[in-house]
Amino acid sequence: MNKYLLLLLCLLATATHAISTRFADEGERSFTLVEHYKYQRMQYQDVVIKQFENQPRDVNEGPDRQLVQFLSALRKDNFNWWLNNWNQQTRDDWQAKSELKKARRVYNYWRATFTKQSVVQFKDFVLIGQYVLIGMQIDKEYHLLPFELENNRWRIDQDYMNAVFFQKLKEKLSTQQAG
Amino acid sequence: MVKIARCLTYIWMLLFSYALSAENAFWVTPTFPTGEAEQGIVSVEQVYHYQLFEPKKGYEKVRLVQRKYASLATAEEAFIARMSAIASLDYQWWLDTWEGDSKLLALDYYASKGLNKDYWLDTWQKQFVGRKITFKQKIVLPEYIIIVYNVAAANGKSGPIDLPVVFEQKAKQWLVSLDLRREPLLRISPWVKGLDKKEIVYE
Repeated sequence: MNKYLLLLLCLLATATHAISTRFADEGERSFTLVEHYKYQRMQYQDVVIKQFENQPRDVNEGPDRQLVQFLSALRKDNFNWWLNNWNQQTRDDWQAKSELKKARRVYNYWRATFTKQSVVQFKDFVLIGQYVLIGMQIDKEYHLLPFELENNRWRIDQDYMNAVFFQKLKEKLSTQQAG
Repeated sequence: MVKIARCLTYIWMLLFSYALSAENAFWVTPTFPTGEAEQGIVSVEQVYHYQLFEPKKGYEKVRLVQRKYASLATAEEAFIARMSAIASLDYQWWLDTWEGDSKLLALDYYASKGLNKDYWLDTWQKQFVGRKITFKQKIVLPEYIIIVYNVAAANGKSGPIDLPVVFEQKAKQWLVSLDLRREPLLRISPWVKGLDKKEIVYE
């Protein structure tokens, strides 16, 4: 009986050994990826936004006009109008995070950032791939928003704002404004 | 006088056409006044680390198993389970090798392309059943393990491309994941050719 048990244990040990030694460790490797993003930048010339919309307009008049709608929605404290400036993927993401009230939190941030007393000046119009980034200065702070066309309407993409190159570009443009 | 007028017209047309071409150079233009466009570039460098494993001699061939002997305890066993599911045309077993969120994502995508169960069974029948499957590499990342494999052609020779499957561990099971689908690391798969650096320019 003991002989059979020993044989079984040996077989099991061999099987386990076979699994653990199926692959040989070739060591740690590293890989460096360098990504260069080319862009075209046009700087707005003293464009202080003073005219705002009174209600939503479902039109494609360019990404900077859509940004005026985004700001107008904040001035009018119209959450749904403001939300409609974001692309579908962003709205889906916020819907999925409704328990965290993600959309409301972002909205509240923007309401606090852009008040009726704020002065907003458009600074940069940047073409990069299929996106247009609009840089603006609200009071003393620089903001950059990425617009893409979705069903022929300009919408802001939250996911794009998380990309490392976007953050780097924002920092670069922001520093140049300060300089 | 006529010559001067013609000359001026020509210069004006030149300037006008230049202005037009400058304006039309971009697919979208600002609607408020701006200066001339300047080209810029922003660069991002990222270093990835991974552990490379290659099959030992004699262990390259994937030995398929019946479901009752299959396991998801390691990425290698999970890979064998997945290939066994495919080669035995067991659609439900194949579904069970997916991580939950990735499965929903995949099934949504397949549904949008009309790739239903019959499509997969037919594809597996034609491209997997009876073919030799070999391990090529195992890549260990902090949270994922990638198994690179090859499916032989009908004539028994190596298939034209090596394919990766990504696994992640959930509740002590290694399951197929789509989390890395947008990662440049997977798209480039530097381990295939032993690349240590790559530069990409996005125009």
